[in-house]
Amino acid sequence: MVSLTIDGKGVLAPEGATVLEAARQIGVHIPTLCHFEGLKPYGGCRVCLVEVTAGTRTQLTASCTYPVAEGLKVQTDTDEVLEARRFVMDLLLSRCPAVPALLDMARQVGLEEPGFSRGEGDCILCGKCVRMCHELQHVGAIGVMGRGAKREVVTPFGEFCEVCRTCGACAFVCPTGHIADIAKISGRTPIPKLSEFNAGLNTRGNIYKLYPQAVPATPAIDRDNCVQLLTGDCGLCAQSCTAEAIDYSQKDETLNLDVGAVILAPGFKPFDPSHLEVYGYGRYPNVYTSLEFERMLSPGGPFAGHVQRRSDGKEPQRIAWVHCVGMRSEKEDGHPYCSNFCCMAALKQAIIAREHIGPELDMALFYLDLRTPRKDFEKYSTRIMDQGARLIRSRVHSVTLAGHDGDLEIRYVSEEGDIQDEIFDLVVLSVGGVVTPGVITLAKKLGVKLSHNRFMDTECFKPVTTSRPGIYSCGFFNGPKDIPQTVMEGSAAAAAAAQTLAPVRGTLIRAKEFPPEVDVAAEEPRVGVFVCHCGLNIGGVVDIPDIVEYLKDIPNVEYVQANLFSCSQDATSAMVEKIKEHGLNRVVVAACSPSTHQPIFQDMLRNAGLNKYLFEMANIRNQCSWVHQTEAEAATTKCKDLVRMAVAKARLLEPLEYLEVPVTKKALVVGGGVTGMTAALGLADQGYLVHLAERKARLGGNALKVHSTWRGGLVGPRVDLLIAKVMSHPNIKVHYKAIVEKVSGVVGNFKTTLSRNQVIEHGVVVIAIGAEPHRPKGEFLYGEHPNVLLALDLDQEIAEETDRIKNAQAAAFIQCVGSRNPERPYCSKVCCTHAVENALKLKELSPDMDVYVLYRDMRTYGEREIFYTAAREQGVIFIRYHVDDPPQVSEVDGSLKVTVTDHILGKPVDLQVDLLTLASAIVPHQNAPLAELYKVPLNAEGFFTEAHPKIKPVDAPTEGIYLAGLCHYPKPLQESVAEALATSARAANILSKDSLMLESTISQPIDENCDGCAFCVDTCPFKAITLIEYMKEGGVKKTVEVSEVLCKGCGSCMATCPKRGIVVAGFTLDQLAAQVDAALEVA
Amino acid sequence: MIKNVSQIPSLGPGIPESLGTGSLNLTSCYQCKKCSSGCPLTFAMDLLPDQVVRLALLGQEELVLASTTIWVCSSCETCTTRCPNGVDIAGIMDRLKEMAFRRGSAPAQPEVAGFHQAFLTAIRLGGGRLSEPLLLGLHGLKSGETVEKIKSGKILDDLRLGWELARRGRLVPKLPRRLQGYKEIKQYLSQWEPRD
Repeated sequence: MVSLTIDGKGVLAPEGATVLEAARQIGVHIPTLCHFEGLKPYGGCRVCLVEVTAGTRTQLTASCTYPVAEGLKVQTDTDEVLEARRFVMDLLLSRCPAVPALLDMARQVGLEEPGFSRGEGDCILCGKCVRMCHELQHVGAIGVMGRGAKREVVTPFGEFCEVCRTCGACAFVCPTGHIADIAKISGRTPIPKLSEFNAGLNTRGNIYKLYPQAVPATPAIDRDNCVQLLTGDCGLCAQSCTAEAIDYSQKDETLNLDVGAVILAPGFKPFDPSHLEVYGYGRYPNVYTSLEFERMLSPGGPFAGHVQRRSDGKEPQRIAWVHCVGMRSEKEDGHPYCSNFCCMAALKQAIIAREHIGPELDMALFYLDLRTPRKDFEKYSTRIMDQGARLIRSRVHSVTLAGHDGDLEIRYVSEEGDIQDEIFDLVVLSVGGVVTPGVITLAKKLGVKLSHNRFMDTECFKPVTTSRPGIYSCGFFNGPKDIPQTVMEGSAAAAAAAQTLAPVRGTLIRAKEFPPEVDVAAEEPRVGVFVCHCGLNIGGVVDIPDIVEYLKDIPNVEYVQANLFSCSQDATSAMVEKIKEHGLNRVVVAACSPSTHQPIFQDMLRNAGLNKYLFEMANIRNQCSWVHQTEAEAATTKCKDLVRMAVAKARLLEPLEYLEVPVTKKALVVGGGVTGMTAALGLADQGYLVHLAERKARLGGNALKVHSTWRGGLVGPRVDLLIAKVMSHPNIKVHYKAIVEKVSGVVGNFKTTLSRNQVIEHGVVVIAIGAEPHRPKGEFLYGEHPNVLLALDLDQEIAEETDRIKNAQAAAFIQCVGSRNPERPYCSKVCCTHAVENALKLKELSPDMDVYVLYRDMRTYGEREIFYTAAREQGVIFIRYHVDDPPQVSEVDGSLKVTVTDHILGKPVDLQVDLLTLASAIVPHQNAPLAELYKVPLNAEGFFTEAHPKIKPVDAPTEGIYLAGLCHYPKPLQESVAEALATSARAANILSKDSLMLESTISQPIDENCDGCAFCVDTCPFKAITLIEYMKEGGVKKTVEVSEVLCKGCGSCMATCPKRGIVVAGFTLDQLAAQVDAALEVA
Repeated sequence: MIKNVSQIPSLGPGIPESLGTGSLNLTSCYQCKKCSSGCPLTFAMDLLPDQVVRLALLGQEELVLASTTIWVCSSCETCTTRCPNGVDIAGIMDRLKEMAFRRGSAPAQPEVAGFHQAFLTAIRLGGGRLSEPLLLGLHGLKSGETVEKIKSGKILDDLRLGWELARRGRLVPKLPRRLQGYKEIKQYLSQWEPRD
């Protein structure tokens, strides 16, 4: 090491380093142009001039080439130095006066205009490009030719250079933009790498993160294009990575894993419409796929959420969405199924596009059947229609160019039967999903059976079980579905695997062990502060050595240390040693965000034998270096303030008791239908005791009335089997004729009283109480004519093959009876498929029977579409009616006459039928009492509400309570069963623990200050505080009590309390006051 | 919406059998209207192609056979090519033309119907092949155009043009050679012969 002084500050620099490197080490800024880390020092541009005194001799010299030497004195900001730099800048700027980067630099040295005659070029002959090409790429595609004024960067003989790899490194290092077009060097135009994540709408580098939230959030090298991996040259990234994380020798590895179960979740790929010439995708720039449009709408997308056309960047004012692209037809390499998610995705895109562009946006959606059968989707579609979206039921024949400015024309047939030509600025093809060939190969390799449409072949009663034992599958691969359902199915597959693996649960888990904690409560605070460079994230902006020095003088600070990356494993181990070595009893880490890193450092404290609440964090990255990148000095001062505040609080920190509550390892399932029984079995098979409460005297619920599932499997025998399993399972106790009467307790420890005063203690609850069919008394002659039935009644008649079924000449179905109207603004989801299924059965029983289905939108989503197609092929006639013009039913000579307006002809048609089946809505039971008992909210229609429709689809908002089946929303058996399994996985998360660890930073009442005013009781958003009374000194004393389980430590109570009667541990008023005082102190 | 009709007669036992089954796939239709959106001749039609399909599906023969659409259709097959359900719409139009003849219903476009008939007759007389001079002659006679032209003397222009074409080998004024499978064709054609 060599010691020298730069601007009066002492520096220790490694031998062989340059003055520039030594200066940068201590944060002294010297401007450079020809210098580049990784290239040899060149000394070409001379803007890095400094004054160097070696011995008695003082000279101006380029710092980038001058080696450090013992005792050297360097001045970087004397008047001479600045004057010399200004002169050099003047020469460079005069040569290239139009280069913005030079203008910026010139302005920084106080130069506005070039002082010499203005040149025309943009190359300053810094030689970075040539050196990059020679030194790192080992290519030499360019060189410097000529002397004096004729000196220039050229290719050999001025011709296109064959050895150039078009790697772009020359353009990358060029400071002036002189080398911008590599095609001029190689004669070949480089092909930009398009961002996969942004659907190719923008480009990405060769080292990239797939997307900002990628896990792990480390960049990857695109090995197909990396010069170093392909040729062994370059290696620039390894040279610049301060963490030395780049390892070119990494190879693909084959890992052999011994597992007891496999879950397949391979997902899907959007359908590629490029070969559908009629839609013009790939030919007309303004035709987008829905995925491209999705990325364009995303605030994190290529245009930050601004909607703009590919052709001219104009914001579109008229957008058309074309539904069902590649779906619901096998023509043109399409797929016979419906992809389930795309209708809703198109509606959502319309809503968001309108938010981005403005209410004047013209939105036209060309759909076939609007398939929005999921919870709250119907209301969503009504909302977008109220906002002016035009839903046009017409499949688009072709998209053509209108004129030359990129506008597109669509010709369609309106609802009235008129041919319309309309011009749009942008067309979105709402593409469906496809299982990729790679996934099909995987399935074949694993030997699992696929369905006709190459989805996983699963049974309705075993929705995530494949044909091969031990292999489970979930998501789109099990049949098209949307996000909430895939998330739910993920949990279901986990549950199915957990059932198989129950005997070995936890055998591979290693529990974390910590040394015993030292009691430091009585000790004088000895604070240790660790300041993190976070690579260059913090260290590149603020002066960390200065901060370290500053902290040493603060009272109670015993030890200060700077780390390059504090969160790395070796750094935390080193910190543990320092804590022990210096006897530290409070620790402050000045680094990044506590929300991401606090747990790591708290574990570090526990490893050092300290209570984890003796820790405080100062966020000097997100709150300082990131947001003040251009003001290094002020940022350093702010860092000092932030750390000083943290130390002030740390001094007052006290160890807190770790709170734990034991878990009652039992579950209660309310509802003994297929859903409830499946949930109960799911938990019982995992080894937990389950109480199953059924309201009636018999298990089975609604499924007892259902004849077969949509895939055609008989329901009856499977329900019988399920009942037998439940009844014989040693871990399940069934309570018949039992309803929930009283509930107390919280997650982990509920106490529920059932009928006949049976008290059950349990850790979790699954609510699966089902729903019932709406009975539309008086509508469509229901209850007035014997041949008007409900769907489930028809099931029974078909099962029994009654005479009236066999003798019927004509039968009709009316869909959406009591659904999708203002009174019940939701779709009952199961009825379209059910009607199609029954229509097919009627046709099978008597092929000559005329069967009519009167519908509003055929919602045979996913693979169910196949049955709709089959029904049409069998001659079932489908007639679409409008909600404002429902079918009329009357009795004529004993038989039924149905009059309905045909949507294509626009004219009423009469049907004479012998049998009329109504698809009546599925309505919730009286859910309110149970909802009140378990504090689970109901939605406007009376169904239970989940915690989050997408990320927590089967959790109730209250912890430890789970929802499955019809009581959550109408759904087919298969989905109810999957939900039941999902709840068993979620519930097992709680039951598998012996105790629940709670945060100790929660509210603590201070009895002597509390006068029982109860302000806090009303304020608490978690209902964690109760008012209590007790006898004290002969009188009644009122005070409050906090539930450790419910309190989240938000501090609302503390802020409300007028008497300092309640505080949040770890955030006491004294601690906060100390922080404020420290903030106001002058540094 | 179809015009000129206020009420569709009560639905009978269904679709004409010849349309409902087989390669025409009539019943597979899910009323997406793609056929009509893509049809280049809708401007001359009284019913849109999808409405014809719908009426046929609902067994409304009278209405379908009386429409101009079945005669205006030029069998370009844009509809058939693009139909997502494989419904052969152009084939249905063709079948309906034949049905119209068989029923003897008055065609809504007599000229087209006449030409259609002349075409088939020419095929029959031509031994399974189409002879253009024969088609011209038959069509002229059938439509009454020849009589008109004789009256006005314009027939001379036609003859002169015919002579010029024949001289250059563009028109061969003799019957083509009979096809080997003529018997089958004759049998097929006779199935669809008009009853009148």
